[in-house]
Amino acid sequence: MDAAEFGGGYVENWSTEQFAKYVKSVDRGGYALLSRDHSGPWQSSPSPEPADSEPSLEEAMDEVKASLSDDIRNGFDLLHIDPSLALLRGYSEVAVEDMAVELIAHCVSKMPNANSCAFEVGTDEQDIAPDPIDLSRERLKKLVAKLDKYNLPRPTFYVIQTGTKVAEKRNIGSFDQPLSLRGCLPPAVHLPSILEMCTEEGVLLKEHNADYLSDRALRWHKRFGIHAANVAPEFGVTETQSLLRVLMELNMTLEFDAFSGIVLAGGRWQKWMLPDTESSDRDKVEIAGHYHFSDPEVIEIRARAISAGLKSRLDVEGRIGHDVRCAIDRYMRPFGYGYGAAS
Amino acid sequence: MIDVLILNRNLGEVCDSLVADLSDRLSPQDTLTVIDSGSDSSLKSRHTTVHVADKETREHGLRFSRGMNVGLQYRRQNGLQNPWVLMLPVDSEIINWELLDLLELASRYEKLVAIKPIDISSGYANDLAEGSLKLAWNVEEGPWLVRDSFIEEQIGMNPRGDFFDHENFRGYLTSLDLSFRALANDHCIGITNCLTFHENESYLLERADLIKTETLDLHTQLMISEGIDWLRQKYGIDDAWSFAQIVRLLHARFIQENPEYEDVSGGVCL
Repeated sequence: MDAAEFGGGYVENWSTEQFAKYVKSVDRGGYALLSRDHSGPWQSSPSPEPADSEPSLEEAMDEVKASLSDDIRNGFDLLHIDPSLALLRGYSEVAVEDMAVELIAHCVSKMPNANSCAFEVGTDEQDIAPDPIDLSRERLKKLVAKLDKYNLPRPTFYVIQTGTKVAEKRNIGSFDQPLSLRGCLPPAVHLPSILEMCTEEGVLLKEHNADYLSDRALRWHKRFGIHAANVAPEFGVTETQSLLRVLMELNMTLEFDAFSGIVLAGGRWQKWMLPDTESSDRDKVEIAGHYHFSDPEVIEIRARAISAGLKSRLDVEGRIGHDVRCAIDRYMRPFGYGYGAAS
Repeated sequence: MIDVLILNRNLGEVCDSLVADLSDRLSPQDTLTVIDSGSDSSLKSRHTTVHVADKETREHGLRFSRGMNVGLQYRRQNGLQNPWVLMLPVDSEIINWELLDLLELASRYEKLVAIKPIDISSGYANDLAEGSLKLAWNVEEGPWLVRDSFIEEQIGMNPRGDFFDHENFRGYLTSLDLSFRALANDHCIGITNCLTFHENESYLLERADLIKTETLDLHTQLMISEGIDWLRQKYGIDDAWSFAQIVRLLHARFIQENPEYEDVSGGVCL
């Protein structure tokens, strides 16, 4: 989602304010933290690659600041500052660090008090292999030094490449491979080193692109001591797969084809494809279906499925919700939380 | 100063080229043994010393561990006893060779029993200053420089008289297994860029038919499935990372107990 002035986001077409209100309305125990993911210049562009029609850096930074101001106004707890797309546009690492510092300074100036938001910072591109440890250390030390210089808060979470990267419906990073990839340190060597480095600088390690990791790799997160992990597309894919299964089960071929057609025509699957992709149309629909759940035609398809389900004694939304909870549980259990929301 | 063992399988010309490259660098006291792993007669190296040609070897090869065991037995039987043994797969290409500097460095650390010459693409490359040596515990597969005394110690403990585990045919976690055996016996292992090699994988990728071996993909699949069985049977562990954690703890303990090795510890090899 995004601020109303930028047209909201693809989840329910909600603005930040609508999203925050919804979460607070259902979170009666106050357990949920509101978090902004990947806030940085050009992050809302359709493609990470530069485009002719995109805003200038100054315009993009102004948009980000407005969006972050809206997050703070709506009570967000954690703000992920990620100007890394500037690297793809030729800006140096130093310039990208400066952008992160500028955005944190902006947030601090808008926060009602010093503790109202925590920060997560990532300044490099997600890659299949971890960066050399010396390079990660240098980046972190430079960022921390700049923040200290301007009396700004250090981030609670710092994003370092752990060798995780999502493409299509799998994790292609070096972390979850049965043998170490050539040129990469084994995770059992790399992770303790970067965790020690984070501890030295007083930040927590946040892993991104943890989707589709094996159960074994997830179990090792706690054993290695990885502090936090980000998962998202896998749960959207799970929801789409569940919806597709339901449509098939209810013999709703027309609706199945209509939904598939909308997703394929939308093209949102493109950014997830590997260069030598062998993905079928069905794969592409599963990968990008969740971007279209708010399209009026898809809302109608889902409504028809719910009606058909009632006649067949199938609780469609219950089934889909269960499947998504199971997918979330696959992470929560090895991370040491809960005892099976899906059970 | 060193005894070199090269393992060849159906890459005679490649082996001859490696031998020629080494011959320019070795001293008269050094020895060189080429172990042939069931090659067709036309594909043997001109320098072949030991030719293993039983039916199973002709069909499946010896692979690194069994091949080096053969070479080490030959070395013992023929009274070769230089203090270090350099073990090379045939697809090794020499990138850097500062052997005397390395041996001088290694002589300062008597508990250092095995040194991994890094590949140019190694993940450790950035962690080593030029011409240096560092302790490590979890390193890539490929060439090894091993101290004769450690070989003798391990052979003495092995019922078959082998140095590498005969049962680990495809060499799953061979380096980690070697680290474990070194550290568990109050020794340590290191990495260096004084010697640097490049494993030319193109032979495996493009000439698997000629070498008469499985494709790299199939070999990798088999190495993992057979290797996990080996790990279960030998150590009662079914996860390579669990085994790695044990070796890491042994390494950490070694550093703690041997502060005189502090100047070659640290960096990424915590």
